[in-house]
Amino acid sequence: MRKSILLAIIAFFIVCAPAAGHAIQFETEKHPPVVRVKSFFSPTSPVADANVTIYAPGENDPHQSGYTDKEGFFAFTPDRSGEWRFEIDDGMGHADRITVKVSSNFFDSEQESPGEIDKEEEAEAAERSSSECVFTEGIPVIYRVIFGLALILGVTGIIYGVKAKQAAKNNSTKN
Amino acid sequence: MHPSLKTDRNKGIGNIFEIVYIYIFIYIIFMHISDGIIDTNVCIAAGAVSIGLVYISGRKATVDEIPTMGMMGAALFVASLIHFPLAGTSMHLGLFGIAGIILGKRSFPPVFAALLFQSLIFQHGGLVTLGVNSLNMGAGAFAGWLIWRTKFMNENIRALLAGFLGIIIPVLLMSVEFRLSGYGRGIIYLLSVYVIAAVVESIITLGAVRFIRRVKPALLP
Repeated sequence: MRKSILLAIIAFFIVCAPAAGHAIQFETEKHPPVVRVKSFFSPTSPVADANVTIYAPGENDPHQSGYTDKEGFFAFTPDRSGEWRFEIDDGMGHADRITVKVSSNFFDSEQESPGEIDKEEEAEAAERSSSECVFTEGIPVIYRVIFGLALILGVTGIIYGVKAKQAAKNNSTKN
Repeated sequence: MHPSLKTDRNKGIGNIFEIVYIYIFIYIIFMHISDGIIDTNVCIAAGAVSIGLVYISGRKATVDEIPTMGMMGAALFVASLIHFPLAGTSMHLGLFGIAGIILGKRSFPPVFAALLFQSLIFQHGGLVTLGVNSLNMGAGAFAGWLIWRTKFMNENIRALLAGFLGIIIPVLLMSVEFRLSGYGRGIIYLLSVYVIAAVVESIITLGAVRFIRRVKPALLP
Protein backbone atom coordinates (compact mmCIF):
# COMPACT_ATOMS: atom_id res chain seq x y z
CA MET A 1 0.00 0.00 0.00
CA ARG A 2 2.76 2.40 1.05
CA LYS A 3 4.77 1.43 -2.00
CA SER A 4 1.93 2.19 -4.38
CA ILE A 5 1.35 5.60 -2.76
CA LEU A 6 5.07 6.36 -3.09
CA LEU A 7 5.05 5.26 -6.74
CA ALA A 8 2.01 7.44 -7.45
CA ILE A 9 3.75 10.46 -5.90
CA ILE A 10 6.95 9.82 -7.91
CA ALA A 11 4.93 9.37 -11.13
CA PHE A 12 3.09 12.62 -10.44
CA PHE A 13 6.38 14.48 -10.00
CA ILE A 14 7.85 12.98 -13.17
CA VAL A 15 4.78 13.95 -15.20
CA CYS A 16 4.66 17.41 -13.69
CA ALA A 17 8.39 18.21 -13.89
CA PRO A 18 8.45 19.51 -17.49
CA ALA A 19 5.60 21.89 -16.72
CA ALA A 20 7.07 23.15 -13.46
CA GLY A 21 7.75 26.84 -13.07
CA HIS A 22 6.05 29.04 -15.64
CA ALA A 23 4.09 27.61 -18.57
CA ILE A 24 4.52 29.42 -21.87
CA GLN A 25 1.35 30.61 -23.55
CA PHE A 26 0.99 31.66 -27.17
CA GLU A 27 -1.11 34.04 -29.19
CA THR A 28 -0.96 33.76 -32.96
CA GLU A 29 -1.84 36.64 -35.25
CA LYS A 30 -1.92 36.44 -39.02
CA HIS A 31 -1.07 39.57 -40.94
CA PRO A 32 -0.67 38.20 -44.50
CA PRO A 33 2.00 37.57 -45.62
CA VAL A 34 3.39 37.50 -42.07
CA VAL A 35 2.49 35.31 -39.11
CA ARG A 36 3.25 36.83 -35.73
CA VAL A 37 3.45 34.72 -32.57
CA LYS A 38 3.46 36.25 -29.13
CA SER A 39 4.93 34.11 -26.32
CA PHE A 40 4.26 34.99 -22.70
CA PHE A 41 4.19 33.53 -19.20
CA SER A 42 1.40 35.87 -18.13
CA PRO A 43 -0.12 38.95 -19.82
CA THR A 44 2.48 41.15 -18.10
CA SER A 45 5.43 38.78 -18.44
CA PRO A 46 6.53 38.14 -22.05
CA VAL A 47 9.09 35.50 -23.01
CA ALA A 48 11.74 37.96 -24.17
CA ASP A 49 15.02 37.15 -25.97
CA ALA A 50 14.13 33.48 -26.28
CA ASN A 51 15.54 31.30 -29.02
CA VAL A 52 12.93 30.45 -31.69
CA THR A 53 13.16 27.93 -34.50
CA ILE A 54 10.56 27.64 -37.25
CA TYR A 55 10.08 24.45 -39.26
CA ALA A 56 8.15 24.36 -42.54
CA PRO A 57 5.43 21.68 -42.98
CA GLY A 58 6.97 18.22 -43.29
CA GLU A 59 10.56 19.45 -43.00
CA ASN A 60 13.12 18.68 -40.34
CA ASP A 61 15.62 21.40 -41.26
CA PRO A 62 14.86 24.82 -39.75
CA HIS A 63 13.15 27.26 -42.06
CA GLN A 64 14.09 30.23 -39.89
CA SER A 65 15.58 30.86 -36.46
CA GLY A 66 16.10 33.88 -34.26
CA TYR A 67 15.09 35.49 -30.98
CA THR A 68 11.85 36.94 -29.67
CA ASP A 69 11.85 40.69 -29.05
CA LYS A 70 11.42 42.25 -25.61
CA GLU A 71 7.63 41.96 -25.92
CA GLY A 72 7.89 38.23 -26.73
CA PHE A 73 6.99 38.65 -30.41
CA PHE A 74 8.45 36.65 -33.27
CA ALA A 75 7.34 36.98 -36.88
CA PHE A 76 7.93 34.77 -39.89
CA THR A 77 6.74 34.63 -43.48
CA PRO A 78 5.29 31.26 -44.57
CA ASP A 79 5.80 30.36 -48.21
CA ARG A 80 3.34 27.45 -48.31
CA SER A 81 0.23 26.23 -46.55
CA GLY A 82 0.27 23.51 -43.90
CA GLU A 83 1.30 23.06 -40.30
CA TRP A 84 4.31 25.18 -39.35
CA ARG A 85 6.21 24.17 -36.23
CA PHE A 86 7.17 26.93 -33.81
CA GLU A 87 9.70 25.96 -31.12
CA ILE A 88 10.81 28.27 -28.34
CA ASP A 89 13.48 27.92 -25.65
CA ASP A 90 14.47 30.72 -23.30
CA GLY A 91 17.56 28.85 -22.07
CA MET A 92 16.30 28.87 -18.47
CA GLY A 93 14.32 25.66 -18.51
CA HIS A 94 11.25 27.09 -20.25
CA ALA A 95 10.75 25.48 -23.64
CA ASP A 96 7.62 24.70 -25.63
CA ARG A 97 6.34 24.25 -29.17
CA ILE A 98 3.15 24.86 -31.10
CA THR A 99 1.97 24.22 -34.61
CA VAL A 100 0.67 27.16 -36.62
CA LYS A 101 -1.83 26.13 -39.27
CA VAL A 102 -1.49 28.19 -42.42
CA SER A 103 -4.39 27.70 -44.80
CA SER A 104 -4.26 28.32 -48.56
CA ASN A 105 -6.59 31.29 -47.93
CA PHE A 106 -3.79 32.94 -45.99
CA PHE A 107 -1.98 33.79 -49.21
CA ASP A 108 -4.97 35.74 -50.42
CA SER A 109 -4.66 38.77 -48.17
CA GLU A 110 -8.17 40.01 -48.96
CA GLN A 111 -9.84 36.95 -47.49
CA GLU A 112 -8.36 37.30 -44.04
CA SER A 113 -8.67 40.48 -42.08
CA PRO A 114 -5.26 41.74 -40.95
CA GLY A 115 -4.44 41.50 -37.28
CA GLU A 116 -7.16 39.01 -36.52
CA ILE A 117 -6.17 36.67 -33.74
CA ASP A 118 -6.39 33.08 -34.85
CA LYS A 119 -9.10 31.72 -32.57
CA GLU A 120 -8.42 28.16 -33.63
CA GLU A 121 -4.77 28.43 -32.61
CA GLU A 122 -5.74 30.10 -29.37
CA ALA A 123 -8.19 27.33 -28.55
CA GLU A 124 -5.58 24.74 -29.41
CA ALA A 125 -3.02 26.44 -27.16
CA ALA A 126 -5.57 26.62 -24.34
CA GLU A 127 -6.38 22.95 -24.77
CA ARG A 128 -2.69 22.04 -24.79
CA SER A 129 -2.11 24.16 -21.73
CA SER A 130 -4.94 22.52 -19.85
CA SER A 131 -3.54 19.10 -20.62
CA GLU A 132 -0.32 20.00 -18.81
CA CYS A 133 0.16 19.77 -15.08
CA VAL A 134 -0.30 23.51 -14.69
CA PHE A 135 -3.94 22.75 -14.12
CA THR A 136 -4.76 26.00 -12.38
CA GLU A 137 -3.83 28.23 -15.31
CA GLY A 138 -6.62 30.72 -15.95
CA ILE A 139 -8.41 30.04 -12.65
CA PRO A 140 -8.93 33.16 -10.49
CA VAL A 141 -6.48 33.56 -7.61
CA ILE A 142 -9.14 33.35 -4.92
CA TYR A 143 -10.26 29.91 -6.15
CA ARG A 144 -6.65 28.77 -6.26
CA VAL A 145 -6.17 29.91 -2.67
CA ILE A 146 -9.30 28.05 -1.56
CA PHE A 147 -8.16 25.00 -3.52
CA GLY A 148 -4.72 25.07 -1.89
CA LEU A 149 -6.11 25.57 1.60
CA ALA A 150 -8.61 22.77 1.09
CA LEU A 151 -5.79 20.45 0.02
CA ILE A 152 -3.55 21.33 2.96
CA LEU A 153 -6.34 21.07 5.53
CA GLY A 154 -7.68 17.92 3.89
CA VAL A 155 -4.28 16.22 4.06
CA THR A 156 -3.99 17.39 7.68
CA GLY A 157 -7.37 15.83 8.43
CA ILE A 158 -6.35 12.52 6.90
CA ILE A 159 -3.07 12.45 8.84
CA TYR A 160 -4.94 13.41 12.02
CA GLY A 161 -7.41 10.59 11.49
CA VAL A 162 -4.66 8.03 10.92
CA LYS A 163 -2.65 9.23 13.93
CA ALA A 164 -5.73 9.29 16.17
CA LYS A 165 -6.60 5.76 15.12
CA GLN A 166 -3.05 4.61 15.87
CA ALA A 167 -3.11 6.32 19.25
CA ALA A 168 -6.46 4.70 20.12
CA LYS A 169 -5.12 1.31 19.06
CA ASN A 170 -2.01 1.75 21.20
CA ASN A 171 -4.11 2.77 24.19
CA SER A 172 -6.41 -0.24 23.82
CA THR A 173 -3.45 -2.65 23.62
CA LYS A 174 -1.91 -1.09 26.73
CA ASN A 175 -5.16 -1.52 28.62
CA MET B 1 20.92 27.62 -16.79
CA HIS B 2 20.94 30.77 -18.87
CA PRO B 3 24.52 31.57 -20.04
CA SER B 4 24.18 35.22 -19.01
CA LEU B 5 23.48 34.16 -15.45
CA LYS B 6 26.48 31.89 -15.21
CA THR B 7 29.74 33.55 -14.24
CA ASP B 8 33.36 32.62 -14.05
CA ARG B 9 34.20 31.52 -10.51
CA ASN B 10 37.41 33.53 -10.61
CA LYS B 11 35.64 36.71 -11.64
CA GLY B 12 34.72 37.53 -8.07
CA ILE B 13 31.93 40.04 -7.73
CA GLY B 14 31.07 39.90 -11.43
CA ASN B 15 30.22 42.79 -13.70
CA ILE B 16 27.57 45.37 -12.97
CA PHE B 17 25.12 43.92 -15.50
CA GLU B 18 25.27 40.57 -13.84
CA ILE B 19 24.63 42.16 -10.46
CA VAL B 20 21.64 44.15 -11.69
CA TYR B 21 20.27 41.14 -13.55
CA ILE B 22 20.47 38.86 -10.52
CA TYR B 23 19.25 41.61 -8.19
CA ILE B 24 16.03 41.98 -10.16
CA PHE B 25 15.73 38.26 -10.60
CA ILE B 26 16.09 37.38 -6.93
CA TYR B 27 13.93 40.22 -5.72
CA ILE B 28 11.10 39.17 -8.00
CA ILE B 29 11.17 35.55 -6.96
CA PHE B 30 11.86 36.39 -3.28
CA MET B 31 13.43 33.21 -2.07
CA HIS B 32 11.19 30.90 -4.10
CA ILE B 33 13.82 29.64 -6.48
CA SER B 34 12.40 28.50 -9.81
CA ASP B 35 13.58 25.52 -11.83
CA GLY B 36 16.65 25.90 -14.02
CA ILE B 37 18.45 28.40 -11.82
CA ILE B 38 20.22 26.19 -9.30
CA ASP B 39 22.59 23.44 -10.36
CA THR B 40 20.85 20.04 -10.65
CA ASN B 41 23.30 18.32 -8.27
CA VAL B 42 22.60 20.94 -5.62
CA CYS B 43 18.85 20.41 -6.15
CA ILE B 44 19.19 16.64 -5.75
CA ALA B 45 21.33 16.94 -2.61
CA ALA B 46 19.04 19.54 -1.05
CA GLY B 47 15.99 17.46 -2.01
CA ALA B 48 17.41 14.38 -0.28
CA VAL B 49 18.25 16.38 2.86
CA SER B 50 14.79 18.01 2.86
CA ILE B 51 12.91 14.74 2.56
CA GLY B 52 15.03 13.33 5.39
CA LEU B 53 14.30 16.36 7.55
CA VAL B 54 10.58 16.24 6.78
CA TYR B 55 10.52 12.60 7.84
CA ILE B 56 12.55 13.13 11.01
CA SER B 57 10.63 16.26 11.90
CA GLY B 58 7.16 14.82 11.36
CA ARG B 59 7.70 11.19 12.32
CA LYS B 60 6.92 11.53 16.01
CA ALA B 61 4.32 14.27 15.75
CA THR B 62 1.55 13.62 18.25
CA VAL B 63 -2.17 13.76 17.48
CA ASP B 64 -2.44 17.12 19.28
CA GLU B 65 0.32 18.65 17.15
CA ILE B 66 -1.20 17.70 13.77
CA PRO B 67 -3.96 20.38 13.65
CA THR B 68 -1.46 23.11 14.59
CA MET B 69 0.91 21.90 11.88
CA GLY B 70 -1.93 21.94 9.35
CA MET B 71 -3.05 25.43 10.32
CA MET B 72 0.52 26.73 10.17
CA GLY B 73 1.00 25.10 6.76
CA ALA B 74 -2.15 26.86 5.55
CA ALA B 75 -0.90 30.17 6.97
CA LEU B 76 2.48 29.76 5.25
CA PHE B 77 0.72 28.91 2.00
CA VAL B 78 -1.40 32.09 2.10
CA ALA B 79 1.38 34.33 3.46
CA SER B 80 3.18 34.35 0.12
CA LEU B 81 0.15 36.00 -1.47
CA ILE B 82 0.23 39.04 0.80
CA HIS B 83 2.42 41.46 -1.10
CA PHE B 84 3.51 44.89 0.03
CA PRO B 85 5.66 47.52 -1.67
CA LEU B 86 9.31 47.79 -0.64
CA ALA B 87 12.37 49.49 -2.17
CA GLY B 88 10.68 50.12 -5.51
CA THR B 89 9.39 46.60 -5.85
CA SER B 90 7.06 44.31 -3.91
CA MET B 91 7.75 41.48 -1.50
CA HIS B 92 5.59 39.08 0.44
CA LEU B 93 5.52 37.64 3.92
CA GLY B 94 7.37 34.48 4.89
CA LEU B 95 6.21 33.81 8.47
CA PHE B 96 9.01 31.30 9.00
CA GLY B 97 9.97 32.84 12.34
CA ILE B 98 6.49 32.51 13.79
CA ALA B 99 6.20 29.01 12.30
CA GLY B 100 9.39 28.05 14.16
CA ILE B 101 8.15 29.58 17.40
CA ILE B 102 4.79 27.77 17.32
CA LEU B 103 5.81 24.46 15.79
CA GLY B 104 9.40 24.11 16.99
CA LYS B 105 11.05 21.03 15.56
CA ARG B 106 7.82 20.11 13.71
CA SER B 107 8.31 23.05 11.30
CA PHE B 108 9.67 21.17 8.31
CA PRO B 109 6.55 19.25 7.13
CA PRO B 110 4.25 22.33 7.04
CA VAL B 111 6.93 24.38 5.24
CA PHE B 112 7.38 21.58 2.72
CA ALA B 113 3.63 21.20 2.18
CA ALA B 114 3.09 24.94 1.78
CA LEU B 115 5.91 25.19 -0.78
CA LEU B 116 4.69 22.13 -2.67
CA PHE B 117 1.19 23.57 -3.09
CA GLN B 118 2.52 27.04 -3.88
CA SER B 119 4.60 25.48 -6.64
CA LEU B 120 1.75 23.39 -8.03
CA ILE B 121 -1.03 25.95 -7.78
CA PHE B 122 0.74 29.28 -8.26
CA GLN B 123 3.95 28.14 -10.03
CA HIS B 124 5.66 30.00 -7.20
CA GLY B 125 9.00 28.22 -7.08
CA GLY B 126 9.85 25.08 -9.01
CA LEU B 127 9.21 21.42 -8.31
CA VAL B 128 12.81 20.41 -8.99
CA THR B 129 13.95 23.12 -6.57
CA LEU B 130 11.31 22.19 -4.00
CA GLY B 131 13.96 20.51 -1.87
CA VAL B 132 16.21 23.57 -2.03
CA ASN B 133 13.37 25.92 -1.09
CA SER B 134 12.13 23.63 1.69
CA LEU B 135 15.60 23.27 3.13
CA ASN B 136 16.19 27.03 3.10
CA MET B 137 12.89 28.05 4.61
CA GLY B 138 12.66 25.10 6.97
CA ALA B 139 16.09 26.05 8.28
CA GLY B 140 14.80 29.58 8.83
CA ALA B 141 11.92 28.24 10.92
CA PHE B 142 14.29 25.95 12.80
CA ALA B 143 16.60 28.90 13.58
CA GLY B 144 13.58 30.83 14.86
CA TRP B 145 12.75 27.95 17.18
CA LEU B 146 16.34 27.73 18.49
CA ILE B 147 16.31 31.43 19.33
CA TRP B 148 12.87 31.20 20.92
CA ARG B 149 13.78 28.36 23.26
CA THR B 150 16.80 30.23 24.68
CA LYS B 151 15.30 31.82 27.76
CA PHE B 152 18.11 34.31 28.36
CA MET B 153 16.48 37.24 26.65
CA ASN B 154 13.23 39.08 26.91
CA GLU B 155 10.36 37.45 25.01
CA ASN B 156 9.94 40.44 22.68
CA ILE B 157 13.62 40.42 21.72
CA ARG B 158 13.49 36.68 21.09
CA ALA B 159 10.44 37.15 18.86
CA LEU B 160 12.20 39.90 16.89
CA LEU B 161 15.31 37.76 16.48
CA ALA B 162 13.28 34.71 15.46
CA GLY B 163 11.50 36.71 12.75
CA PHE B 164 14.79 38.20 11.57
CA LEU B 165 16.59 34.85 11.41
CA GLY B 166 13.56 33.29 9.72
CA ILE B 167 14.49 35.35 6.67
CA ILE B 168 18.25 35.74 7.02
CA ILE B 169 19.06 32.03 7.43
CA PRO B 170 17.23 31.06 4.19
CA VAL B 171 18.99 33.94 2.43
CA LEU B 172 22.41 32.78 3.63
CA LEU B 173 21.68 29.23 2.53
CA MET B 174 20.41 30.52 -0.79
CA SER B 175 23.63 32.47 -1.37
CA VAL B 176 25.65 29.31 -0.66
CA GLU B 177 23.51 27.37 -3.15
CA PHE B 178 23.96 30.08 -5.77
CA ARG B 179 27.73 29.99 -5.21
CA LEU B 180 27.72 26.20 -5.54
CA SER B 181 25.85 26.61 -8.82
CA GLY B 182 28.61 28.80 -10.22
CA TYR B 183 27.35 32.33 -9.67
CA GLY B 184 29.76 35.13 -8.82
CA ARG B 185 30.46 36.33 -5.29
CA GLY B 186 28.40 39.40 -6.06
CA ILE B 187 25.32 37.41 -5.18
CA ILE B 188 26.30 37.44 -1.50
CA TYR B 189 26.49 41.24 -1.40
CA LEU B 190 23.23 41.55 -3.26
CA LEU B 191 21.44 39.43 -0.76
CA SER B 192 21.97 42.21 1.77
CA VAL B 193 18.75 43.69 0.39
CA TYR B 194 16.95 40.99 2.30
CA VAL B 195 17.95 42.67 5.55
CA ILE B 196 15.10 45.15 5.00
CA ALA B 197 12.68 42.27 4.43
CA ALA B 198 14.00 40.56 7.57
CA VAL B 199 13.38 43.68 9.65
CA VAL B 200 9.79 43.89 8.38
CA GLU B 201 9.31 40.21 9.10
CA SER B 202 10.73 40.52 12.61
CA ILE B 203 8.26 43.30 13.45
CA ILE B 204 5.38 41.17 12.13
CA THR B 205 6.62 38.21 14.17
CA LEU B 206 6.75 40.36 17.31
CA GLY B 207 3.18 41.53 16.67
CA ALA B 208 2.02 37.96 16.12
CA VAL B 209 3.71 36.71 19.31
CA ARG B 210 2.21 39.49 21.41
CA PHE B 211 -1.22 38.79 19.92
CA ILE B 212 -0.98 35.04 20.56
CA ARG B 213 0.31 35.66 24.11
CA ARG B 214 -2.80 37.73 24.80
CA VAL B 215 -5.37 35.55 22.99
CA LYS B 216 -4.11 31.97 23.22
CA PRO B 217 -0.87 31.72 25.24
CA ALA B 218 -0.97 27.91 25.25
CA LEU B 219 0.07 28.03 21.58
CA LEU B 220 3.48 29.44 22.55
CA PRO B 221 5.86 26.89 24.05
